[in-house]
Amino acid sequence: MLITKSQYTLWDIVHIEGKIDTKTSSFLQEFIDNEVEFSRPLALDMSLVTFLSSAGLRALLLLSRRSHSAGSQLALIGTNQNIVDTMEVTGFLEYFTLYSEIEDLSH
Amino acid sequence: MNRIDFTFSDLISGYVDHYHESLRVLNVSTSDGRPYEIQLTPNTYAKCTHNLDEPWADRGAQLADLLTPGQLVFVYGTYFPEDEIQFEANYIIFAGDDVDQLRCNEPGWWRRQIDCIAAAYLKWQFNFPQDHIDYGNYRTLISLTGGKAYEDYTQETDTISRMVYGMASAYMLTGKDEYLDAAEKGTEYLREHMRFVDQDTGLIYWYHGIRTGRDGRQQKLLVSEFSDDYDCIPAYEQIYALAGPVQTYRLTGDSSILADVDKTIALFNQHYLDQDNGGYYSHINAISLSPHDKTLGRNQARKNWNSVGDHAPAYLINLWLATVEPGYLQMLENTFDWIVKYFPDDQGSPFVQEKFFDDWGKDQSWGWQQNRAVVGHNLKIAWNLMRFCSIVPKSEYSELACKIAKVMPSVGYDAQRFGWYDVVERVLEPGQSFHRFAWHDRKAWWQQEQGILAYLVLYGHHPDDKMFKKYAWESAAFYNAFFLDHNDGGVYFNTLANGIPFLVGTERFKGSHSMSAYHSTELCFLATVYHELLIAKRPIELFFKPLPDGFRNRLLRVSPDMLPHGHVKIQECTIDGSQYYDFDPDDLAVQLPVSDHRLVVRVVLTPTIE
Repeated sequence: MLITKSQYTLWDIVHIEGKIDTKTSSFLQEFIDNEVEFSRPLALDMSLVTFLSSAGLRALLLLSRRSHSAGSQLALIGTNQNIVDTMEVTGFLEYFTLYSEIEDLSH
Repeated sequence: MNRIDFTFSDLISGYVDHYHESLRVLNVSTSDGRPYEIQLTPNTYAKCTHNLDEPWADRGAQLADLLTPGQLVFVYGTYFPEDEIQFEANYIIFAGDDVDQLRCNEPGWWRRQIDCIAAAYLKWQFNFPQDHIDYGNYRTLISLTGGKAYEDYTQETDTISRMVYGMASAYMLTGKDEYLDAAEKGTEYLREHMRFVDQDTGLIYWYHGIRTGRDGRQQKLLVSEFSDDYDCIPAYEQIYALAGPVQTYRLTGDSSILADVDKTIALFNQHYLDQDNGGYYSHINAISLSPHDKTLGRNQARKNWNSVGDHAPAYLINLWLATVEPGYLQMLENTFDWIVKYFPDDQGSPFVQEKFFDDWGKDQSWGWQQNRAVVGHNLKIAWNLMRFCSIVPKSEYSELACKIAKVMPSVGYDAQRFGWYDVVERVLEPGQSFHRFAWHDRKAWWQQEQGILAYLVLYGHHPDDKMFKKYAWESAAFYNAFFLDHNDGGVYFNTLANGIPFLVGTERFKGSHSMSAYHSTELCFLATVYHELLIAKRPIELFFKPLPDGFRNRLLRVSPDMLPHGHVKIQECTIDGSQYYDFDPDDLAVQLPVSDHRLVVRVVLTPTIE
């Protein structure tokens, strides 16, 4: 898994490439712990994520909680349909805001 | 060093030695036999303990008749430190109208109490019966008078499950459909909203809860919100998530409950179990599901009473009662074997050790617990060992239960006023005679439950033991005298040592992270079972409502608890109101008929041993 960070207007963007599974979820969390301050809204660019396991879902939930506690926003960008389906089946979808493109993020 | 040269009020609880009517002087001996002389005044008033569905029971005009030797009384009054310390009574509460006939030992006392408590929670949570039962309206926080928040609130999995347990238990004792409705809807709500089905492994675990903000936005909470367990998935939350559904399963045989439970037990055995040293870890990391993850901090690779011992009372005994599956029995045996092996600490303290490192070394520096004892955990170990001992009669189980019960009155009990303390230092410092209180000398409702059940269950098993009887009666008398909220319903969270309700902060609430129609109803349920069947030797009625495709082989098991073999049998069974005879009276099992609708099964259980 490859993780990088950029900015778009007010947003911090974390770009993820590869699978978010049991092995890589901890890596994602560690990256966010070290690189994200939650003082700005956060978007995860999921457009190159090919697989999201249950461990990945749990990591997203924890991220959502931290963002919520900080009074910040969290968005998912470009999530592929398989992952959206997984999130829907597991009841997660309603707890996240999804956008198609980074440009769709509010200014 | 310090002189008591001021007036103060307090409670004296004990047994009447003598009453001099013309002088209005009462002599009372406390639980441990210390005598007091009490002056009654013209304003001293009195009542008898009354149940939640009963009005004030004035006894002010009957003092001379009631203050007979041996009568159990609670006398609240004022000390005057004069030439001799005087004690003047403000009021008296009688535990019963006759010596040795406590009101709480009357037939149906605990059944009526669970009925009142369950009805109160239905009213508070759902405005039932005016409105339908809808768990969308459930709130974890309920005020003293039953009020709740309409925005910015949390629904915790455990508290819903605990309430569901109470509702299912209330149905089993009363047969009132609204309680079964509440149990089933709560179970369904948990399944729909609080259940996480791991797509990778098929395991199930349960969210901490759901938070709804002022803006109406909901957030699922995967990990605990509490400081003891922050950012972890604590074992006890997963354990108590099963309490309500399993008690409901006993009534209905709903196979979807069993499937969820089995997948949660698989979670325990795959991620919480210490495969090498035994025991269940207390916390796992939310992402890796590992108990060894360094992010767990002070909860990394730890075991405690809750993670090892709470499986049994919360769900596992009830699950075995409904299924008689050997696998559940083995898991129970493992947990009790670990308790008798690792928890006693005879050289270190009269209290058990209840927090451990990976290798079962003593953890005596964790958070608030340090080297402190939760009195109720000791008592809870005692009564649960005795329950299990009925099925797997290992001598070490009953020996530890009896040992705990013999020592607790001298270290965790209030011999002056009755009732059980909360958290105390496990070790006396030089010069000390009393174990110091960690924070206060208040008495929590759930700790009283442990004391009552410990001695009731032990007395049921040992009917000749006067000590077990004494503390069963005293503990139950104290609880029923002081914990019932006759104004607003339910029971109080805490009282002061003297029995006066403590109504400050979260201890003011009827619903909170720790209180939700669980301990109070568990007490009513098990006190009914043990007192009626094993002690008073009276029959009880139980109700079930199995689904047509529910229990395997259509076999409904109706044993209310793990009771001594051969002490209880089915005397009578009705299905949908008609007499039914296809049951095994000694095995406590009913062979249900083929049916296309739910059956209302009523059984009468009766003691077989006089």
